[in-house]
Amino acid sequence: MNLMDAVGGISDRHIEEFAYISPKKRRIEPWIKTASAACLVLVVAVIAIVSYQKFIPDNYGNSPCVYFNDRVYSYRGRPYTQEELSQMPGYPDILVFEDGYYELPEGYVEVGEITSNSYKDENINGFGAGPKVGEKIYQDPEHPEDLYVYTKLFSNVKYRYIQFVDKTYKRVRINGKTYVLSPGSVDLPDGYVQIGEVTTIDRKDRYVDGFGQGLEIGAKIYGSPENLDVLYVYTNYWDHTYGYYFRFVPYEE
Amino acid sequence: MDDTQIIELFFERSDRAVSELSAKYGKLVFKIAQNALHNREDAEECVNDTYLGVWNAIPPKRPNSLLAFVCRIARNISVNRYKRDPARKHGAYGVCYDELQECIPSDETVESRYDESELSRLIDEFLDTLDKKNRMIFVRRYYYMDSFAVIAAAAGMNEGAVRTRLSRLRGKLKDYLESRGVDV
Repeated sequence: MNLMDAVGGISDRHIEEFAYISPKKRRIEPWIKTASAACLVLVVAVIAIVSYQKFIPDNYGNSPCVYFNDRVYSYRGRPYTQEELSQMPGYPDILVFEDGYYELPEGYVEVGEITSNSYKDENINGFGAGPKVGEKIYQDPEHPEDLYVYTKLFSNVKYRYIQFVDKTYKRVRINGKTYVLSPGSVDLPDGYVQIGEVTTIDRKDRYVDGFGQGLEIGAKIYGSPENLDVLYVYTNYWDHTYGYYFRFVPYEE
Repeated sequence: MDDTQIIELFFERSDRAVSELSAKYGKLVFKIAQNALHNREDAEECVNDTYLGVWNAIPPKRPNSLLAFVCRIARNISVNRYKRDPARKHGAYGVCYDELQECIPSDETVESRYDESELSRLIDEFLDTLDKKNRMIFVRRYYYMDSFAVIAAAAGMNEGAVRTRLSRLRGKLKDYLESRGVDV
């Protein structure tokens, strides 16, 4: 905890108020204007005689084509969605998404390659285009619920092994038990009371979905005396002002 | 495209969602990451990860302010990136951190009594006590991590004056926190 991190939690209005600033115009003395005009004439003449400069546009943010969909592709008839592996407090031993997995996790073998991609990504940068035709697919034969593709994906810089999880297996472990994420709510439903808090989250579980990154040690867990299986976990998920009650039901094999 | 329309694209899981977001806020996001990290390659990766973060968050979230929402994610990712890589600490985050640490004697004191959200609220209140120019100088320095030169240009001041003003603002913040019971 530090004040720089606390500043990160200031309200939206303060963030918005000064998101865009520009240099303030300053009053220019008349003699400066005259001298500047004379210099300008001279400079233009020199430029015209000597050379021209090619303006190299900052192409950042002007990616010619960005296509994005959570169903990045289908493998053997099942839809897979890319899962983010982000480092959060409490998970110091997990590789972060930005660095990705540079080594293929143990147990995975090459099972094929991307043969088609619905995105028009032939010659554009890697951002948002999904895996490219020809990139390799890796899977653990004993655990087909997820797989890895060696791709640049969202970065134009580095190849990484990006995990894809079968969308029908949106699982997460809470205090050692496996749950499936289901639609939650902004408000806690009637009858639910706090029954505990998240004390352990096993990020080494290969089936942990991308949502797992949003849970924190200490996040409050709510249950109903009438149905102790269904849980709600309240988390701010990314920022400090938005909270949401995420609903979990037990995962059944 | 207005923010409401962009948010709807995310809810529809449309291919255009990220491109529209990038077109509208891409430069701002990059600016935040570049300020924090002072490394173009790292900043570009943070921008990509910011878009992914927004994609993963919306839905279910429906932010009231898409601009602020995107800035928060960008700043968090950039700061986490900075903290994670000690070998490449050239960004402004570290310098700004050192400046603000003047306001407290030790993290242990603050951490033991106030959580981060409470401190954020107090800083929010502190900002409301400032006039617009001072508020701009503080927010641009410590939220957006701008250089003194950029802030000076926006404020119509020279860099030395900005440094002095920030020093005074930090003193005011310290006094404010003390008045609100934060033991400094």
